[in-house]
Amino acid sequence: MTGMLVVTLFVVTAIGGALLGEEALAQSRRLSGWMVRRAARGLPTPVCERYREEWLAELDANPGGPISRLCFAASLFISWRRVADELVPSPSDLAGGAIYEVRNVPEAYDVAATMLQIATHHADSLIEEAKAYRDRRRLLRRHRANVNWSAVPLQIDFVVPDDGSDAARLLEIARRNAVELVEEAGVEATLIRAEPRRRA
Amino acid sequence: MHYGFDLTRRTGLKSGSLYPILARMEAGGLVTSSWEEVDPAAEGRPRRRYYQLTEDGAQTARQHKRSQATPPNPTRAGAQVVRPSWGTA
Repeated sequence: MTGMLVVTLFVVTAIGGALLGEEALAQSRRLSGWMVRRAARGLPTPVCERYREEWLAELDANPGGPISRLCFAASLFISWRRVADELVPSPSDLAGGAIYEVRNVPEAYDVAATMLQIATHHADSLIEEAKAYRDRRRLLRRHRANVNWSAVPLQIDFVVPDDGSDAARLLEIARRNAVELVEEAGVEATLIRAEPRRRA
Repeated sequence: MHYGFDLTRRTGLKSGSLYPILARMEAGGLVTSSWEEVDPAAEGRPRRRYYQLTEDGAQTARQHKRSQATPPNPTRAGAQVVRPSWGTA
């Protein structure tokens, strides 16, 4: 009778253990994925999706077991702020990039009009980005003592063709619009190049 | 070209340490990164992001390696070393 009980207990424990192990494995997979997605979500918007995809792919490439995957994900989860600090978007690069793409198209007037829209729209995006960054830094400040505070470095460079063309004129208007938008938004430490950089 | 997990294995760095470094190097123009050109459906896995040293990065790495390999300057023979001594200050 006792032998039967021991065997039954053994079987029940084995089946229960296997089920629990399977469940724990599934949960650990979910947890790893959640930590990676959460870490990526804390990054600046322009790079958030890139890192989410990149890190999920890295997680997938990890040949180790669930513990190894959890460690990989936990390390990212713990230190996403450090990554974010390195990834504060460079508004000047973004604005320059957006304008550069348009500048290369030959139909000057239409292009300049589009450029005006893009530059204005882009200034809006940059302001939102700067505000989000500022809010995030404020949030961090509440949790971390002795943080060295620097104001949000928002800079927009406008590269203007130096040919007196309609494109140049409209881009100058775009630059002024952007300056006004930033000033109205009251973003901290705004810095906009006072004079457009001239093309050589 | 290497992807992130490969780099964590090669360098022994944790992912949370590696990515800030890569981000800084990328911002500084020392490495570039690009998505691998594969069809995720055909490969049965998501595409990876590959990192590669730029020419500047390679040059910086070579310089760093050389500076690491240079032995420390030996103390100049006969040079007078001034040391504070007790009771004289």
